[in-house]
Amino acid sequence: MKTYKKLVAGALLASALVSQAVAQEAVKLGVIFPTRTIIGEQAGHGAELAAKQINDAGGILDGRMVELIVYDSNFSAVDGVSAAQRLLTQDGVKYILGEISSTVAFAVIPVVESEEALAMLAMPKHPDVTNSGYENVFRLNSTSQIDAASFGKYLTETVKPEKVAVLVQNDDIGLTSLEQMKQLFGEKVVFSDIFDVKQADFSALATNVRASGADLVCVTAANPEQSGGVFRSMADVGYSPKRCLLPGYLNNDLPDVAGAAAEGVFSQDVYIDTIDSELNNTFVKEYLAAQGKVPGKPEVLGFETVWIVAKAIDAAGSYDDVSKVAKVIRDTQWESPRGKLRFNEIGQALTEKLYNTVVKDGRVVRAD
Amino acid sequence: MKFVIPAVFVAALVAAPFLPTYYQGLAIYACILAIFATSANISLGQLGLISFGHAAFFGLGAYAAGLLNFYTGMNYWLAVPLAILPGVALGALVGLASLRLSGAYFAIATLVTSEILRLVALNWVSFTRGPMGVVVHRPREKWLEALTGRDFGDLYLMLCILVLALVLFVVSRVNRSLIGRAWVALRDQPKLAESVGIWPLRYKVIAIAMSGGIAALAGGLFVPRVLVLSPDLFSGTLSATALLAAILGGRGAVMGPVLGGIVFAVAPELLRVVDEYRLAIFALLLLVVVRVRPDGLISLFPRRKTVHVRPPSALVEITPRQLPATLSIEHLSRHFGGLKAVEDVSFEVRRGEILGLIGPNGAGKTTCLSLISAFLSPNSGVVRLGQLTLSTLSSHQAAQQGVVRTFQHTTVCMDLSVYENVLIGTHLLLPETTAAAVLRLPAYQQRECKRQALAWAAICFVGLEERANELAGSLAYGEQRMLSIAVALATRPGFLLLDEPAAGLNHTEALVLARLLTGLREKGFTIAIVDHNLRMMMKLCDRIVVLHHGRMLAEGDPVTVRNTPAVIEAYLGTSDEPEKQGATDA
Amino acid sequence: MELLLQQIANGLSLGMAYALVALGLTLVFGVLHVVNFAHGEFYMLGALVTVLVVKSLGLPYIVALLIAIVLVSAVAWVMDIVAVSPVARKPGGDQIVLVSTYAAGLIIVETVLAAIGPTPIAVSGFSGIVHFGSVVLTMHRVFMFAAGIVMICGLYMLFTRTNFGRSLRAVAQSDYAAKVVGIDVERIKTLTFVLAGGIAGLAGGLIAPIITFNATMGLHAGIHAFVVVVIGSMGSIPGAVVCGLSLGMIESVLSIFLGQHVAATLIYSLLLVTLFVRPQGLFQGALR
Repeated sequence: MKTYKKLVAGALLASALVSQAVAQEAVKLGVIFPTRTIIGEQAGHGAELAAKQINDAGGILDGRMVELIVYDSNFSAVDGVSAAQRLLTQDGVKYILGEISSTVAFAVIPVVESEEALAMLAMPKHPDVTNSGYENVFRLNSTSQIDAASFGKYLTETVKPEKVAVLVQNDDIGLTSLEQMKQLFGEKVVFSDIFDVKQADFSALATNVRASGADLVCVTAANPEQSGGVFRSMADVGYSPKRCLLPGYLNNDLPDVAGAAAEGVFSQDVYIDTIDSELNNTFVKEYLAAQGKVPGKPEVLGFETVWIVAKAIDAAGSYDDVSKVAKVIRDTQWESPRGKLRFNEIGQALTEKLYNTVVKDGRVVRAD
Repeated sequence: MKFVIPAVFVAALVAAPFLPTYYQGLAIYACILAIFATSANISLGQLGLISFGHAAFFGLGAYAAGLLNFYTGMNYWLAVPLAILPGVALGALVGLASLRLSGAYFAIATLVTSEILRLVALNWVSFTRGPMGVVVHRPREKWLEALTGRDFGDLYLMLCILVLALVLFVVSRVNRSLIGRAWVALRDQPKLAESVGIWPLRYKVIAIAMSGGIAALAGGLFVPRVLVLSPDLFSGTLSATALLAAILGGRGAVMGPVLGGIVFAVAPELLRVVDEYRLAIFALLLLVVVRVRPDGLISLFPRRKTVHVRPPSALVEITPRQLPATLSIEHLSRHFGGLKAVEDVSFEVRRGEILGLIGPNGAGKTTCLSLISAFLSPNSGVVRLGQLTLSTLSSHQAAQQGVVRTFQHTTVCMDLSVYENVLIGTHLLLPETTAAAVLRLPAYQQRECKRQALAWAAICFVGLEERANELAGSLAYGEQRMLSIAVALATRPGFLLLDEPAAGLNHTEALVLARLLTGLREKGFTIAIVDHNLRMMMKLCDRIVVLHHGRMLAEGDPVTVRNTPAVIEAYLGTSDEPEKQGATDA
Repeated sequence: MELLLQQIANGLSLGMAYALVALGLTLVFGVLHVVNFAHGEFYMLGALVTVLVVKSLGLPYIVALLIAIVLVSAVAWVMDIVAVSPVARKPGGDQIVLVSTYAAGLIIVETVLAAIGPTPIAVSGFSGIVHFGSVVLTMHRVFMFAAGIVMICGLYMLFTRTNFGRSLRAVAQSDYAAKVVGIDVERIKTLTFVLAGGIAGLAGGLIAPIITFNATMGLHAGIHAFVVVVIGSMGSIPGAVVCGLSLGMIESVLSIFLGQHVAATLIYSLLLVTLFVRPQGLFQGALR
């Protein structure tokens, strides 16, 4: 369906370009996301916007349009592998973009490798994703180590809590962050708990945290209904310490879900929509026009997958020479809505800084 | 017809390397789901037990193979067969549990088991790396790839096809063996099964252990497809897939779950052209299929006819197993709440006689029969067979000792043919192992021939040879009664306990029955018979025991018993119609 | 002590939520003798309708609850016609119903996902905090608990005081006997299914303000409900209520001493042991 829409858009645009006598073959990029989940949907919108901006500006490789083929990876390794194989061997795509889940990424990378293609992963956070040994794998999201280094510094130097409580979801990110907090605060961690990624009622948890008397509560939860549930339940039992979400998860869905209970929750992130750069201003404006709300991190990372790969193909002057494109990606400093970024030798994206963010009057804004 | 399925497999194997990578991937997943659904179908189709937690076995197999490879560096493909073992072990445990749990309770117990395993995999971080998962490297065999000139995907698919074929081969052979017959009997007529000596525990454990092993094998094969072990391998979705694929494909046939597995693997993928709606459309198709074809997709194909039996070349005589002892019932009592169904009853069943057990309704005759055949245990008193105390055994053990009963209500497997029913009765003739049933070596075939000959002899003896290939359910009532006697005879019982064999028979049929029983006595069978047809009983029986309100009223030859005043009173005393007396039936 | 009391209060409200979802499931099993795989989706739909009516139409929460009951009952009725009654009647129908209700549930979830997307939607029910000594509960949790009690009493009255209730219990005992005494068994079964749908819809509406609506909430709740129903003996309404409440309390109280992930493993192990000790559940016996 989405392919179809993009084709129509591409065709319309192509016919509008009078100078173009014949519509050239589109440049196909494969995109996989769990499209029926909220993060997948947001990131997918970001990717679409990147394709649109590039095509509006005349496409790449001398006027060829970028065409996205989007498949649902359904948070499942099986579906992810099937989608990737379909893209690489049926749809003739050489670039796999997107994805949220590390598990899916692990399953997809060998497929990408055996087809000698390139993977530009958006969100997977597991450190080993970029340690597969295959050089054409890139990852845009910051890893938990990168986050922890920066956010830990902020917590210890600026927030200076006495007693810390850590509540994490039971997945790779949650457990890693719990370990990091324990290393960071040692004895100061007076309470920790791990909740199921499907848990819906947090009243018991909130009661126990309150009893611990922590003055800082750190939460790691990917779903806003869960982080929101935790903060709301804490407010319900009349407990209001300093509260933070570990980096990467604070966006406007939290105040939408938790209302007043989210007020004052702080975090750090690689992106905030108020960054003042030309690229970001256009990005925010167009995203707002298309989706009716301001973009957050998933949208930016989704955007970057298409934006960087398309620009790299253009700069390499070749779609089929994947190694050359990969070299361009590695050797270039990229401009993105979140600022400048480059990739290290194993394909991990590094940004200049993380922004301090906080919920204020029902919106996520910059804290400093 | 017989060669169609093997031909399909050979064709698939030949075609496998020429498929595009994407379709190879789909085919691999289809094979794995087919194996998985086949495994679920062993408990579902053969035992009638719904398992909501089959992913427990699947995940166990996947984790076992993956972790063996991860920690010991063992070649992955060697680890896969080893991974079957934990599946078998867990299956055996679940099999033990299935003796106590049935229906929804069994379903939830399996669901909870898989959930516990999921939580263990999720939370035992130091061993399984929990939600981080264990990354398994693609287990390529470079030498084999070089030797055959095929790539990893080709070989992987070919292996999956071969394993699927092997699994189907094993399952269909077991299904058609003594073990498969025991499963069907336990599913359709558990009491009949026990009465012919089938030990429920053993066969349920075999079934679920086998099912668990096959599911674990599927799990082990699955890992190279996703290359990461995550607790999702134990998820409810996966369990549901196996169960639903088996039902969708068709529970009745070996190929049903295969079809279902293929559909579940392929349909959602082929619907990727309508990516956003693919699961909704898949669900819609599923709904339509079960509405139009409740017997599953397999019912779209012509059904293979049941094999017609021919009379075996070497006919055997039906004879009792030699039992020198006398069956003695000593001071037997059994109470149900306040009701004393049987109270201090003592008598003997002597070799070679026909003993009649009579008494008004509610006299405790059937209870007495159940006590002797160990279907009930007495509150006090014992049943002895020579030196052996029968009353402490379970019913299938009593059958092993040659004490075999029939039931008041016709108890045969209605969906099986007459011949297949009687074959169930031959269960005790010769011991059999699962391995023998799969390998079918000449020795096994000889044993099977002996069973068939015995079954045929039993059918001939009751005069059903013309109907041997017909479904038991299609027989007339009288014929069904005869069939249940034939099933009991096929166990070659020393003592045959018949519970109202003449009930509902017309006069002619009753005469035939009486002749048959006399014939059995001549062959050396010992028979105890409960019936209301007094005229037949008086003519037929050597001795008669009369029960009334659970107590012994009289014992002796028919003439003596008929002239005992207490008996006359019991039957005629308060009413002209003995049937109405003592309406409080046990 | 204060902590324990608070957790018991939390557990009661959590447990009532379990019980509310489990009620309809056990009712369907008791009367129709089938397991409805889509029951969790009725609950999800109830939450969805409530959320949409409050957010989009701006109607009061109570009105939204009533609309949720009506609409979800209607969906249940359609589902009975399409996926339950024609299937359940056939031989082996109890197993086929698993597939047909699973498919119907999947259609419901996918339709909701396609229509409103995966974004969670919060709605507020009754605001405010209630203090019972040192124990604190939100007004909404108190309301949900009270509404649950009222509903359970209502059901009790329905089953014992009305003709419908008597017929329903007769069908639960035996289809055949009910037919013999002239009860329209098919009609009673359909009505029961619709009633169960309505109960689930109400449950969804009551719980939505506590847990935030999302399209996949039904699946998880459905599995939990199934566990509650089985341990409480399938078809037993007191069993479902008592087991739901106990499960909630055990979870809450255990969370004081154990991490929630450890507690979950422990609770499931306890369930397994319970099943072995009482193979027919704790409340053996049919619908009363």
